[in-house]
Amino acid sequence: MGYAMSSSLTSFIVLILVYGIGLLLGALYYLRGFKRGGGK
Amino acid sequence: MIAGAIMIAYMIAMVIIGIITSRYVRSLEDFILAGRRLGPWLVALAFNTTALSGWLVLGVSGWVYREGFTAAWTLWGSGCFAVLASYIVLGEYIRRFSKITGALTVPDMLEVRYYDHEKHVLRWISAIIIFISTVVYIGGLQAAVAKGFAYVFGLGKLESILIAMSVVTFYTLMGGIPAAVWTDVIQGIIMVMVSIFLIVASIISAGGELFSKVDAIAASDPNFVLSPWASPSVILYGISLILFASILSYMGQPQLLNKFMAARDHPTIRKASLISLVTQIVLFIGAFLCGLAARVVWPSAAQLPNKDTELAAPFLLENFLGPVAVGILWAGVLAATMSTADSLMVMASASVVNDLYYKVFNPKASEDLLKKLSMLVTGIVGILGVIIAFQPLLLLWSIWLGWSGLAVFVTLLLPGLFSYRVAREGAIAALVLSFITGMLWFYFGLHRIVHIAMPSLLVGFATIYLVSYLTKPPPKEVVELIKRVRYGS
Repeated sequence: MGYAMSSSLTSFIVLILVYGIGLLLGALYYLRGFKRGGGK
Repeated sequence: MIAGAIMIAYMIAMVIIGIITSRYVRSLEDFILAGRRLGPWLVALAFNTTALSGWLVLGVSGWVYREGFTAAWTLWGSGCFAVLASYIVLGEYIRRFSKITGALTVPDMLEVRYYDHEKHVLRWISAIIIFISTVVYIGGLQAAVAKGFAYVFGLGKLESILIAMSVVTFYTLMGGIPAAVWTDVIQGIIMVMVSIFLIVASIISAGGELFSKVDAIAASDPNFVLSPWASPSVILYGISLILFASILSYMGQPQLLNKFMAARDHPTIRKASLISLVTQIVLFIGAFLCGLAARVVWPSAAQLPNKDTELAAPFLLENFLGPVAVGILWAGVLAATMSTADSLMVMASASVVNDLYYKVFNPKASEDLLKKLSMLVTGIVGILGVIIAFQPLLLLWSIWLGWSGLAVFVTLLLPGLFSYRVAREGAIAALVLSFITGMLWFYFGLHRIVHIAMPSLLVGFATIYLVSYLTKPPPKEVVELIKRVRYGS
């Protein structure tokens, strides 16, 4: 194997990274909420 | 034996919950929206378990087994961004709209937004679309359940479906949404457990070398580890999956939007969004990895039970984690399936009883009569679903067909909440054309080029704007209402 990353592993890591972006956005919404309209 | 015992214990537990929650159902609003009292955990788990069914554990893992990384598009979409988009773009608006106007269902909302109080055209069309799609969807769900009973008990398809559906129908009849929501919580926990089992089994089965073995498969089947940018046709299919079948379709499902209406307040929606998102990601990773692992261990579908790729997940657990895990997996599949079926049944009965009978034909009907009618329709949908379940179709596609039918509501909801200009005539035309386009697309077998949802929703969005701009704009009250929903009063 060495350092050569398997192509499926790379694809899987990309998948997880994209999930990471989603999680970040979710956390942002959770923390900041729905500002417009001042929903309580 | 152990697997069977776990499944039976699970079903008995669900029936008991139905009986207990039935005591708390006093009105139609209780039956459909749990009295708008749900907190974040209930909203989130009800959302996840309703959105996902046997489609995930059996359908998606089987699909990954057959086509590998092509399924990744759906993982991004359904597993993450669709949930986010539903909560962030629609969640709070839907809750407010429903609270301000007293709407209990999506057709209720549409009637107010598209000022269709006199002729009730949108109600009729919505009820028909919901009824047809629900029956098809439930048919697919029953096919998933039947696989479970056949696998564990060696029962035939008919007996399997009858047993499972009588359990779901029973507890839904007894308790409506409160029962569906409480069972959803337990079902959600079981589904997460199953997903963790699947992840563990996937790692064990490949001896820690899952990905290098997957690469070996790719050497003989290059499509298996397909780059999402491999060719224009792959990109097109990917877009149809991620944007249309996942993100936009989630935002159109009335049975999911109902969970927002049932939420207590805005902080509830915010907290629920994060819980839903994390749960969804865990669930999708489990289904995905087990599909890959099963393909590594049994490269030919002929090595799977009944040569059925949709049985890859249970077979993997049976071989690497033993009978207890298999029992819990099937309880999980039943859980996932039942939790979707119960919400669908409540929605179908709401669309007929609340949306048509009560609102159009008999506004003076007593609560008691409405409750009884809801139960009657719930029973009828359950029975019709049994008939559909006997059609020879992959459950992946049968469920997707029902799902795409329900997705058409997004073409009215998004423009309805974000544009002051879209009008009643546009809405009616969009709903009809969008639904028909989707069904024809599937009928002619074009869904293998581009997912059904893409043509269906594109036609819907184009129609609503085009027709609206050619007809009279909405009255002032509607514009005021949208402003109130969006910016508060």
